[in-house]
Amino acid sequence: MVERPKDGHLPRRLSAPAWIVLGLIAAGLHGLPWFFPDLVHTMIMIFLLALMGQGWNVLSGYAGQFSFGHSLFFGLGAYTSSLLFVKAGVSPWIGMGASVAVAVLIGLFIGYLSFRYGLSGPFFALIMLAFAEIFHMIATGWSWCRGAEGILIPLEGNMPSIMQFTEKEPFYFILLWLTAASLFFVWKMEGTRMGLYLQAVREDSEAAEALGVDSLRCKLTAMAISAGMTAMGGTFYAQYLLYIDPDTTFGVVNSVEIMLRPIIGGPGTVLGPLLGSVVLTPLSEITRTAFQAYSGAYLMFYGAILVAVIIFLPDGLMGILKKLAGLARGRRG
Amino acid sequence: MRSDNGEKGLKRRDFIKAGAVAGAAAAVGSLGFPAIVRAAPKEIIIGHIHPLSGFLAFDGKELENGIKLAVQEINQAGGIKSLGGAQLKLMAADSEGKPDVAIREVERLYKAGAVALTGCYQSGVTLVATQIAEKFKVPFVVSVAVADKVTERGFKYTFRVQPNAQQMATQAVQHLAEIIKASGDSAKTIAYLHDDTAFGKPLSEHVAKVAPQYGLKVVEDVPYSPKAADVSTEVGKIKAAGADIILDTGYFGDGVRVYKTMKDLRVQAKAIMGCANGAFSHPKFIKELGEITENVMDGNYRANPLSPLTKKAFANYKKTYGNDMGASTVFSYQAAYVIADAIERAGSDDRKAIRDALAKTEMTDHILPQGPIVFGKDGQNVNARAAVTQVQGGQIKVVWPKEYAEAEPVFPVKM
Amino acid sequence: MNASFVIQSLLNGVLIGGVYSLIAIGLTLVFGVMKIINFAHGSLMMLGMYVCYWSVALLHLNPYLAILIVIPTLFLVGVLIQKFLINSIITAPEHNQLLLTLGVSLFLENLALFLWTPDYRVMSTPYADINFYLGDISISLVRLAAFALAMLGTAVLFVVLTRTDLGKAIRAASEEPDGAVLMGINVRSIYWVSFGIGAACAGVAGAAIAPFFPVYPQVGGLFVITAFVVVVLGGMGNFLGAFAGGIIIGVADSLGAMFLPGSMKSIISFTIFILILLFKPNGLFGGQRG
Repeated sequence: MVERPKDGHLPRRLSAPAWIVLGLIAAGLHGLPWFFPDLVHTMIMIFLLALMGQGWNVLSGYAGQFSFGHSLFFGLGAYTSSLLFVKAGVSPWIGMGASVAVAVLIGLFIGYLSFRYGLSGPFFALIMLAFAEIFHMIATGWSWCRGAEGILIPLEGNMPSIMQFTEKEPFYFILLWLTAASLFFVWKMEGTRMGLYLQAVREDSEAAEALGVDSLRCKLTAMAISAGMTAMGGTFYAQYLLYIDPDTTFGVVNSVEIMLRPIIGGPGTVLGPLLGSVVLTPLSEITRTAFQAYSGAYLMFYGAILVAVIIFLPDGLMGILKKLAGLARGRRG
Repeated sequence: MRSDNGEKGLKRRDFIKAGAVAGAAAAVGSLGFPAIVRAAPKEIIIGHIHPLSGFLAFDGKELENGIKLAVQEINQAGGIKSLGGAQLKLMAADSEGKPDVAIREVERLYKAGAVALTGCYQSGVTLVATQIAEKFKVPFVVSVAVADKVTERGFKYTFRVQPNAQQMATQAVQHLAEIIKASGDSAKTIAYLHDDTAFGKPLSEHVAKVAPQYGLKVVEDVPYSPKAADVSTEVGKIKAAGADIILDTGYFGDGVRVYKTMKDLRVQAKAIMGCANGAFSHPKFIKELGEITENVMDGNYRANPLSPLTKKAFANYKKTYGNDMGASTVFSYQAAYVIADAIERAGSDDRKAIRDALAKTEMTDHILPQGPIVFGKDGQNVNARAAVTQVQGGQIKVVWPKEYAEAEPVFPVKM
Repeated sequence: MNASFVIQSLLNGVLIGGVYSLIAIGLTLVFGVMKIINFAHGSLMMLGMYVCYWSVALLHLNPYLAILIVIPTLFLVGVLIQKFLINSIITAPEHNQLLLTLGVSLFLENLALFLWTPDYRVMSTPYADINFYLGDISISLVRLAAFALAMLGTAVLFVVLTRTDLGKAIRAASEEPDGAVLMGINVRSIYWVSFGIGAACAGVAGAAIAPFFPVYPQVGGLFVITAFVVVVLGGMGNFLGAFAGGIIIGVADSLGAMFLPGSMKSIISFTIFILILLFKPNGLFGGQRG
């Protein structure tokens, strides 16, 4: 017997066939670099954005606090570990911990201020944007963190101890596992009391308060998880490119890229961010290659798709899947 | 009518024949005789990566035009002769101005068989793209990217024709000092207005450092954001500094706005000079702003106006695209020729052979104001030189150094 | 730092602030009526700039006369966007509305890139070179004109909103949507009229700066975030607030540039933004909570 929660969430426990399917997918993904080496970069970007999208999803999808400034945590993640490495020789593995810590602290600070003063909806979205922009300006103007020239992480060769690999595969596997872990985490979180509280707060903050839910604490918890996950992505991005600058990390465009995944996939669902990333990342590459002779055509197309999805699939791709599943179930029952 | 028809028929037959040959070649290739096909390739792929969409699309398109023109000229002149007249085929890639996109695109061009690459206009994107090219061992001739670091990482496959930030800043200051001296003036102080991106910042640092060696001094240094809607306060600071010379660095769009604001605020100086300015020696700058651009100087990378090759390239460019070739475009154009020269000398489309040929480059037939193009161990063009231009009579004229000058510098400028 | 530098700088802050006001007025109207944060507003301004530029370049119109073409064109574009796109998600969650406008903005920006190439275009008009000088202080005619247009725009809208039936209906729909329905106001048609007017405001702002600002597809991005700051400062949905807010932010940016280098100058206006959001969420002059 499988417990079936309401409104199409993933089941809390998986049935045997589900485990088998999951095992097959896992095996396939582990074998992918040998069979489709050309796909490795694309897969890395898919996982990276799925991981950060999951971060966004916890705060905005589950807890309903719509952030328009997740590039803040992405940038903090990228800058903290990189600065620690170039200034103090700290391994990015440890730096990643520091990145998470810094992002969580700053996230909690912003969250406390915002939630304490009752900001929500577009106002919270805008305050996140403002903080991201302020850090963007500081990173650009402050020469201690190398200003606009950015940070070039010296290439030391294949040194796993400092998260440098000459091949892409190690990044692929690390991100594969991290993304899987984030999925597992959010899946488990959905079933915990905290997970239910978050959704209650999203649906109706006041009603949840009336039932004794500490909504401030719930939102802050979501903020911390969200900031941490996104910051991890930032550290990996920095190590993968070995070069970061303020525009490519703190820039508004990254906030958009990060939140697009879960929104297209289905906000407030475990699989939404991954699904969105699986669809969107290759789509952008394919259209870029197809329309490259005409500047602008590709992003025009991208914009049109975004508009179409919002209008026709407001619950994202997961919305369709749920409807299909609902139909199947209806027929059975 | 008849001859017309006949011609068409002939063309179609030729086309079919060519198709059959290509098909056969492909078939042979797939049957396992790659060596035969390799021996006399009909087509050699080179790739370019520039920002063709986004914030810098204008600049990216111009650079692309330069490469396209060079490739077209090379092919029309008989292609790569040591490879039986093989034709160059250019593949384009849009970086969107994003480093992670550049990773993907370098990889794509590599997989498509590109034997050499050029790009990327932005230093940040170039730093990442050259790193991937190094990994794949694809020769990368930088078109435009000013950051010194591009050739300071010990890479074997990265080459740069264009003067880097250090060469450009040093030579701009040196030339400026020489112009001042030749005019008998006593100008000493510089106020420097520059964008605060990876472009203007390192230049300003170099200028501040080398100025004293030439008897000059930077008395005011004002960074501005190219994304700011209004720069009048920044320009006001420069005006208030009252320096003898105003130096200015920026991209095209903000360069135009900054200069217009300087004129509106009646900024006075003995000269307004760009340092690698994206606008001040661009023909469109004069076209858009008109008379007020008269006498503006720019210490920048530049084509050699006295070379007949330059005149030919400029004429061709004008004929093909309808406007004049900008200074940055000169370097994407030149990069394509440097690549072709290396392939010619390598007599092969093997990437390693092309890299080795690039390292031994000693190109004298070029359009730059310098001696032969020779790459140092780090891949930087050791003879790279900046020139000083000045707008005179609505034309951009090289006025310094003397041996490449087409006009006398006007200094000090009456404002 | 001498007096004329400070005066000059503040003066330019006020003048460019007028442009921010004009952009923000359209944004605040759309927010007030529909509760939508319109990220496509900057792209609409860019379209306005192009319409003005082409009217001058191809039809040889006076740039200020071209505004008479810009207004109906942008109004129409706005109405179409509202009717065919925004209308279908008017009840959707806020973030979907925001994303929809983001998609529209991406589309418009790249449509411009596709149609008109990425070229920077500078409008050739003799007005651009005219400056008035008061001692060492200079006042650019075209900037002054942009400021005057902002004042005029605000005044016209203010009169329309307070004195006409249409304006009263818009205000009713904005303040009491349910009540408005009961009073027999067709809220749907108010929506498209408002969005059209909002787009036309953005277009006029674009036309106002076209004589002294290069026209290119991404130009809207330089203004749109500032416009949000202005809207919040003035109170969302509050016109006079948006007008005053624009000037405050223009001056704050000028002050910022005096004391902070380069990109950091906007830290001042963003800090004001955050403080307002936290402590005076209705804006300095009162507005609506979202």
